[in-house]
Amino acid sequence: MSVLARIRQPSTLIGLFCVLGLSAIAIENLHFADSMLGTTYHRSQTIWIVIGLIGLGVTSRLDMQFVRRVSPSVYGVLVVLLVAVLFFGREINYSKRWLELGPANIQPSEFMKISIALMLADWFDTKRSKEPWKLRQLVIPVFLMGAPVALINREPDLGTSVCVAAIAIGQLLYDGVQRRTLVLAFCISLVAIGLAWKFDIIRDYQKGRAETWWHAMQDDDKTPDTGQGGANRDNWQAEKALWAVGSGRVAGRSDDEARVSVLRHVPFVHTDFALACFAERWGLIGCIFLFGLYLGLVWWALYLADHAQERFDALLAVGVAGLVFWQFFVNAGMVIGLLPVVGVTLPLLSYGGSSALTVLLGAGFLLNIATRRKGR
Amino acid sequence: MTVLGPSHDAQRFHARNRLAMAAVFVAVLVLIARLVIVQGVMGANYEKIATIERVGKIRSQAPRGQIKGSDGTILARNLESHSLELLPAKVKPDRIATIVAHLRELLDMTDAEVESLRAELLKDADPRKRQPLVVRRDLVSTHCPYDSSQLELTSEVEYRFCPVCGRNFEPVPAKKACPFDQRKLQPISTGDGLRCSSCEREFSTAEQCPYDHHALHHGHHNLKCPLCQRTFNDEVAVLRANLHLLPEARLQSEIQREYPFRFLASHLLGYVGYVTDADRAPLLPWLPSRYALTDRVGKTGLERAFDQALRGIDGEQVVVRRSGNEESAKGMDDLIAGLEPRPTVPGLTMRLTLDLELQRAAKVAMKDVFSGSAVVIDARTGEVLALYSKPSFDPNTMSGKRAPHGKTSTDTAAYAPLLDKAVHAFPPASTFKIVAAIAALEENIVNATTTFHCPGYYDFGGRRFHCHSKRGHGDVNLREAIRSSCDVYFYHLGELLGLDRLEAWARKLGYGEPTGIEIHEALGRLPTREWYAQHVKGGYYPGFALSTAVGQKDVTATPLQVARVYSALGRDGILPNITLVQGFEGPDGKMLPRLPRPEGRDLPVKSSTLRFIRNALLAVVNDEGGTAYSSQPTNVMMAGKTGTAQAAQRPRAEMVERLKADPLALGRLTTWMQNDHAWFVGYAPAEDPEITVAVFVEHGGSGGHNAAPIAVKIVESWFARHPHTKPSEALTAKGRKKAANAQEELDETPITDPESTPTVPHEEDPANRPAGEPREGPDEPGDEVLP
Repeated sequence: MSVLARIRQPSTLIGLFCVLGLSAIAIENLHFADSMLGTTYHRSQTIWIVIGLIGLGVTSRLDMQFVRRVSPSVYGVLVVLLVAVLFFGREINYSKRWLELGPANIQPSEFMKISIALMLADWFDTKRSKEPWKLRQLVIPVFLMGAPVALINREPDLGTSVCVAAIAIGQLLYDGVQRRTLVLAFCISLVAIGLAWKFDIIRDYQKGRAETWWHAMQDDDKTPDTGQGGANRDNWQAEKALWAVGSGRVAGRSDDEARVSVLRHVPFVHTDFALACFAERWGLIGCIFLFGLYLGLVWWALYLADHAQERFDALLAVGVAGLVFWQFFVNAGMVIGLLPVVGVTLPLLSYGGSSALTVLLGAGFLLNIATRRKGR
Repeated sequence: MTVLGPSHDAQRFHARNRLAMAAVFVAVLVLIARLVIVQGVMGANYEKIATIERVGKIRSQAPRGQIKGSDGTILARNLESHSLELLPAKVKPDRIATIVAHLRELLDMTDAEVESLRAELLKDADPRKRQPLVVRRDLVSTHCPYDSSQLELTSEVEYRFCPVCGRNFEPVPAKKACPFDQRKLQPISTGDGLRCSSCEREFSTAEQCPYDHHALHHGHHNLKCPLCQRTFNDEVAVLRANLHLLPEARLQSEIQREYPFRFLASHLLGYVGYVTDADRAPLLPWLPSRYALTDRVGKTGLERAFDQALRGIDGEQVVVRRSGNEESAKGMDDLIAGLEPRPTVPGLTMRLTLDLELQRAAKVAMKDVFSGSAVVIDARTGEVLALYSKPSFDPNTMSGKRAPHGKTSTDTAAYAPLLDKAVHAFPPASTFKIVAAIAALEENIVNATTTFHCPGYYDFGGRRFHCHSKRGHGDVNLREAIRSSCDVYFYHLGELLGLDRLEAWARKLGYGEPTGIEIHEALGRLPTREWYAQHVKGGYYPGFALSTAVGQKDVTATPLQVARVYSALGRDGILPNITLVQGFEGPDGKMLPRLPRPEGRDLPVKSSTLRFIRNALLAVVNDEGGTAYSSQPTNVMMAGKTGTAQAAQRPRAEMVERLKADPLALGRLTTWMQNDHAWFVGYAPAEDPEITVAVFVEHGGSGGHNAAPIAVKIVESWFARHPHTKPSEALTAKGRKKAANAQEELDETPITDPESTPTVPHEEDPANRPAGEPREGPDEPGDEVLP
């Protein structure tokens, strides 16, 4: 079966449709936010998405053996870059996440998401055994995951580090772990989180967000806090975003209405709260469509994982599925007031070159898998 | 590479894949469910508030209560004041020239103002961080900036404005007389123009400024002040109509305290000012501050004393900021739940006892003195009818209001305009002699017939204490001593009484204690032996008792205290409680019930003694030889006492420094300070006092010549409006004679109990013997010369 014929398969078409649809929506959504606030983010995002689509094409044609060979090197380089970020990084909003490379700011932590997926898929496949993984055997993958997670958390960027961890854990669970190990790991992580909270490894503002969210969940039906009386700033951000989302109602509002609404005052409307912008303009119907696109993308990845002929491919597809799903779920949950405020971007929709590139490269790997597998 | 075959592994993968799929679907469903709640169910709610930028409470400031005189004339009120501000954040550099040109066109701005504005706009600071730039405060709109009268519309009047010196020139009136006071206008020496010497208004129809010969701008005024006849332009209306030319500017308005009578009653009214950290400090550490950061609070006088009653209670309004506008939150009940508005309670209007006419009379009567004060109280009730301190100040300027164009205060700081000299303590001089007289009579040290010889001086403790009459008064009894203010007689009394008894009696009579007036007052000082031991090098020396007996040296009292004591003397020994406040008006304009006020107290003095003193005080004014004989009111009979406190001083070093550039003013100040303080305190009508007047002229000369005439003018003004029941009798010679007869009758009545004989104090109380006490040294301070 030729490559084109494989692309013509329904699952691949659905997946590609989702990727391209999200890319288009992302540019349109940013264009609106720019027109509202007088910024020009959509231009550079368009360039990034074009680069990303080229990257998608390239990765879809790469030889997987080659990818597997270079993935440890890529991983190593990214870890070095993550260390470099801590020293030479550009600080935006009190966080050092970016490396200035000529005209572009590179965020190595974003690329780490796809790199960890490749790295672990490779490791699990190479060291595979018939039995599920035992705790003892997991020292190396946990270290492979832990190093970037710790480094990213140092930036500080809790959201991305959690994402990297979630991708890795998803792959691990997919590959199979002994039940005993699972329970033990669960207990260890609970203790670890407790200790991290206690010894301030989790920062105060992060605790504050979690607490705010907890309290907001407790009395959700109360009147929206109106930013008065020294209300928590994070809560205020989330509150504004929620107003914007809610005011979209079922069918959305016209651009002119949206422009003069609370949306102007939603923070990070280009990045973390891009969904608020979309939701106000397109309403419930638009949101369901958008969520459908994300669901389609994740479904495609899981479908490929299920139908993959090789263990590596399956695990990589699961990694990409995790990459898209976790970011989507955490970000959307945050914007619609279901989860605490965490700095996680919405794949493609949030402005950010590294993030978009990562997602599109991931999609490229999915396409790679889809076009290589034997048809059924 | 491992291939997934149809193995055990593959089955497991398949199961996990289904699990993952299911989890993802469920998660997305959860998200959508939440979206349905947020957008579908609650959507309408959120849509309503989505245009809202802020919901919150804003303070609405309670209007400060007015202060009214006894006749209801408003002494302090609130006026809206407008100012024009530029927002530097909005000013683009290429617009500066246009902005300045527009402002120059719309407002009469001098070249200097224009330049400083331009410089301010060109300043290199970060415009976002800059405060709004006030172009002009107190824009003329509805009220005259000079006298606060309501302005009236008039046909357009041309005027000329000099952009260099900032003077306004009105068109020359037909009769060349000032339109306000009808005085003849004087030509301006340096150019073509006329000037009113009294109100300083200038008139010209020339094209050049008479002062600096720069070309004048022409303009038109369309508002006229009905009182001072000046014309104005409605600057607020002009700016409002042209604000579209200046998107960078905004008109701000605020409520400002305004005192229409300006200098008339400034000291007792006080003024308001922005709250300071000290004001904001809460009463108790754990309480919140009563004031907001931008509040204005009473700083002095009644404004301070009754700040809480005048300021009212600030309310809170719930507002919604929507698309840049503040809106009331009506009909948004669910949104503003928990935000309760609070009604604004306006401040209470205060009605004073002050008689404005009398206050004005006091001001006019004191027009020729540099510095001093006049107090008039109702002798029966203790209500203050007038309380004037000179020089005065304009509480409007003190409250942050701009002084009207080109008009500066005539007051100079040299005479302490901010000091309320009516409640500031000065040596009471001979007005204090009644203390020694009453004490001596009450203690049976002397009686009406006791005489001492006055050779013009009194030798005591190796010192010679002089009488103000160098030749001496000869043999004088107590009545004559009071009438002629013979110092030697009171030196005797001082020696016989001693400092302790003098101090005790002064306290009994009401010196050194609060008068009850609501504003801040000094208590004066009644020196004791302890005080001398602490404060005077060398400690106490018996001669101090002699100085104290004549009210000199370290004893001080406020004019108000003195007036209060004399009221008690005039009215059978009832020492009134002084008050300035009649009461408060409720919101409906009706007087609220008065708070109970402490009753006046009875002086522990025998009525025979009081009668004797009253007689003597009558003689001071009405007997030939009385120190105030030359000052008799024409419409009422007055009794009183003069005082002349020796108070020659040199100007303080900082004042000399300040006036270095102006030797003339310094010379005037130095000469002025060589003079004695002049006092007069009296009550009228003498037989049944209604009012008590105390006049204090700082460095004014002698009490009889410089203070008493002022008191006479004030008393005459009062009785011109409140005719005394028997004015004719008091006026005619017959009436005078009759009064004198009545006096003599009084004189003959025994004033002391027949069985008690005058005793010399050091016979029964050795501790009081002044002469026996050791003296520290020959350089002991003492009053060697007394007026």
